[in-house]
Amino acid sequence: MFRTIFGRYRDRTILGLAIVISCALLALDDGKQAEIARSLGATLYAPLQSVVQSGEELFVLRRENRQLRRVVATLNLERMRLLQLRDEREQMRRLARFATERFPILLPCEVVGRATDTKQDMLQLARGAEDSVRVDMPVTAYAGLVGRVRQVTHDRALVETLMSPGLAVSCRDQRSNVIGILRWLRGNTFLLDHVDAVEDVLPGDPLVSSGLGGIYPRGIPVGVVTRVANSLDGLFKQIEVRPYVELGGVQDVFVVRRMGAWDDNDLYTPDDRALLSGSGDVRADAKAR
Amino acid sequence: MAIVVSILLSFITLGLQATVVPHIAIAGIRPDLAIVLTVLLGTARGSTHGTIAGFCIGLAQDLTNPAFLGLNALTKSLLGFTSGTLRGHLNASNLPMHAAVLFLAVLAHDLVYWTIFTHLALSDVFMGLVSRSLPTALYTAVVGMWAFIAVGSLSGRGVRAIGRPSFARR
Repeated sequence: MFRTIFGRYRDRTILGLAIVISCALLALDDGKQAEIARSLGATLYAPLQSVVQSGEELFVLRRENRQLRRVVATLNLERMRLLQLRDEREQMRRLARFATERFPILLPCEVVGRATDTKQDMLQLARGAEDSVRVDMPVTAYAGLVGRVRQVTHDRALVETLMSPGLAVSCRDQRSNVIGILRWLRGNTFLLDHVDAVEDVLPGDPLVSSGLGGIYPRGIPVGVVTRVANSLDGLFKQIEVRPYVELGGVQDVFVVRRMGAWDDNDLYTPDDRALLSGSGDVRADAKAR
Repeated sequence: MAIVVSILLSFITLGLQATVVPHIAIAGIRPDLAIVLTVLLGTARGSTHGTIAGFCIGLAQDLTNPAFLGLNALTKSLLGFTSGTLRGHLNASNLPMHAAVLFLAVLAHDLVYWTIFTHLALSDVFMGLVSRSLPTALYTAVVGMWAFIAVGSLSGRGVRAIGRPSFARR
């Protein structure tokens, strides 16, 4: 009898099963969902990802390595100058009894996946809870803010980028100190909302995170104002912003693990210190320049 | 054989969706190849095949974004079933109609998607449909139409291979 019914209503039975399984998956809590996705995804996507990544690396790595060596050499020289200025500045701040400033301590992460869903923009990182990555940690790239960590498993993290609908970042105009809320509009264009029509914002103004809201630390570069107009009701400004980071093609990002002082021991690993002390090729590169 | 071809097509489609499609995005709007494939398999093979294919493709997409695990599986199962059920009413040689079907398929898919994603916040559903789904539907219809032609040609029977007089084995 079951076979007869199944034979006659096979398509409906299968649809019913699909709906039940989908709803059961939707009803699971976030951690369980992430765990299932990680274990199934690793099996399904690993071969595809390794082939694509190997191909990309073959073309990109050599050029990137040369470029990075040049950048490191330049930054090393710049750092020397800045260290000198820092000491002087710290001395002045101490004299003025200002609070100690804190700076992001970064964890470099490789982007190993990207959501194929067209509604949300998510990146998958090859770091997880075992690397101290936690939900809501901010994520940056070389040029600026990327987004925040949405989900974490023991070896993977899912990052919600600025291009996800619903993600908003409080930003400050670096020139005029005006504060607004940044939201994704379309493509590579964002809107800075809640800025009164009388406020001073001009095209070309750089935007940084304001530190309000508690998730994104103060001062992370976000983007640049590209267009300013008044809204139809004349109460607010309509401000369009272009982010510094090309979010569609980002491959290496940094998770902001915590904020630390300038002289925090965790800022650099021993290898970094060896590099920054001017050993080996870096020094040769710097001299060559 | 049909299952092997479907699995192969699914892998290729998801691979293209993750690698090539972001590069052909227009103002952030990308064609949804997964929907094209689900509709294609549904209309070509029937509702049973369409439902299973839709579920598997959707689940594979969900694995890359587990925040709503099961959402794409649910919406694409429904889409596969519906397109399979409607295949008897589709005129296979009419390409603009395929485009219209894809256009409506994206809208119907996204209506269910946004409804669950926004927990039935109607204004957000409306905004999602207008700002993202409509342009995506248009783009998907244009790209998908060519996919239909390509698959029809590959099958050696022209565009007629998809739809009513097609490889429908009723």
